[in-house]
Amino acid sequence: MEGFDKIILGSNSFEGVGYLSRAQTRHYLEFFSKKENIIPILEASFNLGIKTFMCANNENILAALKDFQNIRDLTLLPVIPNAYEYARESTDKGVLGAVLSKAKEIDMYQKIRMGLRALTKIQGIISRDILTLLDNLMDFEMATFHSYNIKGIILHGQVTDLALSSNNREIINVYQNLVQEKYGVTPILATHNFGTLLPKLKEWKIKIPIMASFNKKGFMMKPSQEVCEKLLETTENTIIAKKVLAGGRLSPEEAFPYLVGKNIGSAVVGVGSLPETYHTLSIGKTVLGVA
Amino acid sequence: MTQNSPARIRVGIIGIGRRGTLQAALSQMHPGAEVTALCDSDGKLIDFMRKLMPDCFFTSDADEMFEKSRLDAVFICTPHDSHRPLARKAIENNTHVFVERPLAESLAAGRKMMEFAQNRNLVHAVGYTLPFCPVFIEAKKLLDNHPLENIKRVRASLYHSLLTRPREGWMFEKEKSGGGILMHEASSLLLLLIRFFGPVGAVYAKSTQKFSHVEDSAAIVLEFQSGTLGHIDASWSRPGYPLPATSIVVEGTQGVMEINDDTLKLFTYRAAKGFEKGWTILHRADLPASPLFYLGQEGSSETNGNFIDSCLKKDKPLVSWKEGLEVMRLVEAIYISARTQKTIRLDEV
Repeated sequence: MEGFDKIILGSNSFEGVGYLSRAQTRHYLEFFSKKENIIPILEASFNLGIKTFMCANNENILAALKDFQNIRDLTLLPVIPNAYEYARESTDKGVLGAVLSKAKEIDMYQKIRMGLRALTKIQGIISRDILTLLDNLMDFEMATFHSYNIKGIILHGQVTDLALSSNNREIINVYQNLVQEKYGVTPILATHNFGTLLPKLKEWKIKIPIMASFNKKGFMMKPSQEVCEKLLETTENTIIAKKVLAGGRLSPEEAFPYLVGKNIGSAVVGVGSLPETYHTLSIGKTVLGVA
Repeated sequence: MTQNSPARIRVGIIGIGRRGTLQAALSQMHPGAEVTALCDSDGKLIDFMRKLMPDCFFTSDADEMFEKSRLDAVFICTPHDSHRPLARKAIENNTHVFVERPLAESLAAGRKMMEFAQNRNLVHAVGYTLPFCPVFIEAKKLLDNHPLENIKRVRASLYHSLLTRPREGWMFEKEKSGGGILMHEASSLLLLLIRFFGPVGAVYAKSTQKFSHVEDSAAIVLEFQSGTLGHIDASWSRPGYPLPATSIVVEGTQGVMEINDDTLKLFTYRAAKGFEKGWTILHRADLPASPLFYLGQEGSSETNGNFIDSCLKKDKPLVSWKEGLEVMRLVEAIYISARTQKTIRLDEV
């Protein structure tokens, strides 16, 4: 099931996630609130040969995918759960409360599209155990993607790292089994703590792809760039690099050569405009030798 | 670590909502701590979490937790009006205490907490994360070097898209939370301003309510004891800010410094104190980062780690209750000013 494209288009900017400044975040939120501004970037990227798109079930992204003419030839890697949205919504009731609120607020059109079964299951979420919760959450999140080509499902870094902190192998096992058996695709673990996760997966004998920060600046490489690079050398897990451009602090010309010769299978790259799409992805293709 | 300090402290968590879960996870990943007990009044949540952390002691009764768990330290992550009674129990049980921000729901409650803590050899901290964020750490270092010379004016803001429609819950009930954006979010900015520019002498403020029973925005004019003038604008009902956005602009006789969560820009009118004339720009990605396990938001791991390290070394943490109380005094003065429409001197509060 594995074997992802060398370059994967990321969706952070479409979701209003930026690391350079809050002003950039605001710009992304405003600009990409219109699907008309997302579609040309998907098209340009696709025409450059980037045919895998990593995304969350964000309303604007889903609207753009619906109207994207090459959707049949596009492969998606959904990230679940849509943690940013839940975090925005969560106040005193916590993230679980936010999940429930979201379920209640979804309009009838969306309910039909998502499948009422998934929605009904989410209502009883708090009274269930963690394993049922994960199953229900996945149903809920994946319902929006059911008509698309899915090659893998990425567990959000905040969830992976929370499971890691509770030293709970069962959560990862259940996630792995659900993705493989129920959806027939590859499970991927996103993390902000590669240096902690990888040894733990080795101890648990879990060999699934990991998506983690790798960049020349060492930005968000925990516990340190040195430790992450050392672990990378010998791992047998497929590694997908994220934050390759160090949150926008590296130019593509500086960023991509760092990945060459490293044990990295793919790189996820986000772009915030059409010129950036052509520039970043062209450099990436040349440096990483993508046809 | 001193000779008598334990290699790892036993940690308990009271309140396992969003922040409590985060503190449990971060404490568990800190090499100097192990989470051994969790407490929450919600039985369903307890049952749920028990399956996640089967080796921990779970209870809905804080007294039982202190009685049965032999804790070294506790994180209190509950509604603000419960900080005082729970902190008192912790101190009576000889336990180091971390309370999530703000210190308490009122200045009076905060003062009581300080009274309990006095003359006890216990570490106490408040969970403010901003002082641990890389850009603000760098800003503090630079400001301490006085590149701007005499600071005349500070303009600060905090915006967040948290409340863009009516919401219910303890956070929006004055009796339980003590207030709105000032208590929940802007108190972090106030702490930062006191750290940067020293104590405040007087304030004048106005606040507005849009969506809840507490203030959703505030405009504050303050005068630091140094004579520096400050303007603050805060709102948690501004669209376009999925994360809280903090901004501080400092104007001095020799230049200007613009500080936000991601970037620090220093402009000096002439070369001085190691800075060339003109702009010096530092980005978050270029600044040193801690090796701690990353979870939550920027600064969360370091806030948690600073408290645990302080417990191990019996040191004062970066933000103890003393600093938390000073923030509470400023918040109280702002509320009085907003209510009376008068300038309030801090030494009268």
